[in-house]
Amino acid sequence: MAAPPSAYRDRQFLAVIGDEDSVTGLLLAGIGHVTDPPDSQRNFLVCDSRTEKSTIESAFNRFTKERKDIGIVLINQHIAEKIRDTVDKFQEAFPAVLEIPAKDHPYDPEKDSVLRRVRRLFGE
Amino acid sequence: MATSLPSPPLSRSSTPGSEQQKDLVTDTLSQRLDALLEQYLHLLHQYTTLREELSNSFSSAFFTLAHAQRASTLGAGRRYGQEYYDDRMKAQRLVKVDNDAPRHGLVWKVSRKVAPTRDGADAGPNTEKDNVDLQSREKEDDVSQEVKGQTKDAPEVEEDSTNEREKQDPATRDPINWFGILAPSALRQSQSHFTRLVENQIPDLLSIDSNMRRVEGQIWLLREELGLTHDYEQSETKEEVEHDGLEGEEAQVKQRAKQAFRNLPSRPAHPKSHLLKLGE
Repeated sequence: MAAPPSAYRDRQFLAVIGDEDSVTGLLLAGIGHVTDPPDSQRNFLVCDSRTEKSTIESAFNRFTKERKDIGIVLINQHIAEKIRDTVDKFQEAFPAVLEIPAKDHPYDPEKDSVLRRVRRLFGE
Repeated sequence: MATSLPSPPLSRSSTPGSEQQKDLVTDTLSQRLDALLEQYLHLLHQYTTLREELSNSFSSAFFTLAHAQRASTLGAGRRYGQEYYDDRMKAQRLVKVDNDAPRHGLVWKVSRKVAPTRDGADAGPNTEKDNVDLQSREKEDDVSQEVKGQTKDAPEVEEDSTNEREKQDPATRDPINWFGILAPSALRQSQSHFTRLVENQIPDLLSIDSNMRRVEGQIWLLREELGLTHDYEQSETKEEVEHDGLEGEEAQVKQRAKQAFRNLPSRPAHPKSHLLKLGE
C-alpha cells in the first residue's frame, strides 16, 4: 500500500551520522540544520573511535523515530555496523536510511542492506 | 484367494477443461513473474552502477577535502571541521518526495532551498532547473574568487548590501564561509563534489531502492499465488530470528506469503527455473 502524503510531506531535511570529514563535506553541501532555540536540535552527529555505541544509537533513533522533519538519514557504513541490529530493524519507508562510505572505510557490498535483501529474495 | 485387487484410482474431481484453465493461469502468472524478475534485475543493475558512482564521487570529494586540509588557511594544526560549524546553520538543501507508487514507487529529490523573496514568500525546495543554477553559480564562484580584487566593474551599492545580508543570514549563508573568506579552491571543489552527490546520486539511489521494494512486493505476491514461497521459507525463518521486530510493507507481504504457503498442499517447480529462463 502506498504511503499517504502526510507520512512524508514535512520530512524535508537530511540528517547525517558520520566521521568528521563526512559530516563536514555534507554540511558544506548545505544539509546542516539547527532548529530554533530553546530546544535547538542538530541534524548531524560527528563520530570518532571514542563515540559510545549508545550515543550513535540514540542519534539514529532520534532521527528515525522521534523527529518527523527528517526525510533521509545518511550514515557511514562502518558506523552503521556498530549498531547493525538497530539499523536493520528499522524497516519503515520514512525516513529513508542510506549507508555511505567514509574516507577510511570504502563501501562494502557485503554489508549493504539492499543487497542482503536481494539475496533474501533469491533464497540465498 | 484372499488378496484383494487394487482398486482403480478415483476419478478426478475436476474436469480436464478446468485443469487446462488452471495450467493457463499458472503459465500466465509464471510469465508475469519472469517479467517482474527481469525488471528487478535491471533495477539491481542500476542500483549497483549508481552505488559504484556514489563511491567514486565520495572518493573524489574526500580527496579534494584532504587536499584542502593540507592547504588549510586556518593556521597550523587547524582543520576544516566541527570546530568551525555555525550553530545557527539552516538547511539549504531540502528533500522532496513524489509518490509515483503504481509505476516507480517513491521518487526522491534533493534541491536547493528557494531563498525567501522580498515579498516574504515562503521558501521551499526548488525545481530541477535550480540544480543547473547551482552548478553555474559554483563555477561563477570559482571564477569570481580568482578575479576578485583584479577587476571590479563598479558594483551597485544595493547589490552589495543584499550580498552582505545574505552572508550574515544563517538561512542563506554559504557554509564555506564558516571557514573564513579565504577558503582554498580545493575546499570549493570538495563542496561542489558533495553538493552534486547530495543532489543527484543520493536521491537517485533512494528512488531505485524504493522501486526495487515495490517490485519485490509484487514478486512475493506472485510467488504466493504460485505457491513458490516454500523455497524461501528456510531463509525467511532465519531472517525472522535475526529481525524480530520487522515491520512495514515488506514484512506484511512476506507474512501473507508465509500464511499462504501453510495453506498449500503442494508446490510447483523450483523458483530458480524462472531465473534460468531469463538467461535463455
